[in-house]
Amino acid sequence: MTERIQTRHIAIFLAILVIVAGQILALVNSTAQLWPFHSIPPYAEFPGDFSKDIQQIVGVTPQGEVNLSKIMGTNYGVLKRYYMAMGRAQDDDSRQMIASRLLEYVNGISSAECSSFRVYRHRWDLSAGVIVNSTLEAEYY
Amino acid sequence: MTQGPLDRRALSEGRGFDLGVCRAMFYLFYAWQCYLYAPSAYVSLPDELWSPPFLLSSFGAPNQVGVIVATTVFYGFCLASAVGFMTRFSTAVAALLGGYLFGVINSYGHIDIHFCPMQMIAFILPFSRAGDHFSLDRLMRGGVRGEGHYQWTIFLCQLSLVSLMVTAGIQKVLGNWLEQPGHNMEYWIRYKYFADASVKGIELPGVLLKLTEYGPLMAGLGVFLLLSELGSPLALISRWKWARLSVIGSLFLMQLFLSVILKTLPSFPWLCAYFFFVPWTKIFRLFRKSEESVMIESSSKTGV
Repeated sequence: MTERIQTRHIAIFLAILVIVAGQILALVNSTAQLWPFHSIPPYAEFPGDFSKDIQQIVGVTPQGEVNLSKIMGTNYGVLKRYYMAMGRAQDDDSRQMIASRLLEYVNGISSAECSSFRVYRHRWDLSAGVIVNSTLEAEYY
Repeated sequence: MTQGPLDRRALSEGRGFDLGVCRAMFYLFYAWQCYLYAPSAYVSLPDELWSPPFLLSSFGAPNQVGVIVATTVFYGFCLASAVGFMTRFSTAVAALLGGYLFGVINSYGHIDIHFCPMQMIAFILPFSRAGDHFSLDRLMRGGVRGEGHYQWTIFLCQLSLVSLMVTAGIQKVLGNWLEQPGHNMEYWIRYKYFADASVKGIELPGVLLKLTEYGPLMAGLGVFLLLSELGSPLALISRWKWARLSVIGSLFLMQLFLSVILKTLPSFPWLCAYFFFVPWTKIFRLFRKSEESVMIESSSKTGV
C-alpha cells in the first residue's frame, strides 16, 4: 500500500517537473517547437514613443477597398497566418503565390468578389490615434 | 509532521465530484472551441507554409477531408468524455484528436498561445480518474471502484495555466515593463484601441481611451499585471485562502478584460483552465441548501 502511494507521489512529481521544465525550455529557447508548451510574449512593448508601424492587407472589390477581417469573421486566425507568411516571404514570387491562395480562399468563403489585394504599411501615432503615414507597398492579383 | 504546500494542494485525496464536474464542462468547452476556430479552415493555407511543432512533426500538411473526419470523430469523443462514458478511452482519443486539430491551427508559422492550457489539460485528464463521479460510467458500475485520488489532477490542470502566466510575467520583466509599467500599459491599450482594432475592423469602448489619460492609474495597472502574473504560483501553493482567491481572481479578471473588452479573440479559451479552480461541491451544496430553504419556507406558508 505504502509502495503504491510512493509510486503515485513520484509520478505526480514527475508530471509537475515535465510541465515546469517544458515551460522553462520554451521560455529559454523562445521556441514554438514544444507546443503546447509555450511562453507568452508581451503583446506590446513601449519603444520610447507612441508610434507603431503595422502592415495591413485590404481586398479590392468593385465597391472599393474592404477590410479582410470583416470578411473572415471568426476565421481571423487564418488571415493572420497569411499576413505573417507575407511578411516572412523572401521574394515577390512567394508573396504572389501566398496572395493568390488568399484570394482564392477569401472569394471561396464570401461574396466579396475581390479582384486583388493591396498591402499597406501604416504608421500610427498612437497618442493622437491617427495614421500619420501610409504607403502602398504592393498589389497582388 | 507538518505538511508542505505540495502535500496539501497536490497529494491530498481531493473531491471526485469536483473533478467530474470539471471534466464534463471541459470537454463541452473543448468541442465548442474546435467548432469556433474551425481547424479545417486552415487547410486552405499553402502546403509550403506547413511547419508543425515537434508533436506533429511526423504529419504532412493536412487535407480538407481528413481534418473534417477528425473533427467529427473528435466531437463524438468530446461528448462521450463530457457525459463520462468509457471515460478513460474517450478522453484519451479526444486528447489525441484535439492535439492534432489544434496542432494544425498552430502549424502554419504562428502559435496561438490561447489554446495552450486547454491542450495541456486535455493531455492530463486521460491519466486521471475523472470518470469516477458525475458520469455515466459511475451509474453503469453502480459506484466507484477502489480508492480514488483526484486532487493531483486538479492541481496539474491548474499548473498548466499558472506556469504559462509566469512566463508572461518573466517575458515582461526581461523587456522594459519593470522600468516603465505605466508607459507600457498605455502603449498597449492605445495599440489595441487604434492600430489593432483598425486591422481587425472592430470598435472598442471609448472608456478605455479615457483611462489612458490617468498616468498613475496606468502605472498601477502595469504593476498589478506584473505582480499577478509573477505571483500566480501563489494560487497553487499559498496556505492562505484569501491569497489564492485574490491571485486567481485577478488573473481571471485580467484575461476576461483582454478577451471580452479588448476583443482579442472571438471567445475566451482560457476559461476551461479556470473551471479547475472552482469548488464545485461547495457550490452544488449551496444550491441544494437554498433549494431546501425555499421548500421549507413554502411548506411553512402552506402549513404542509
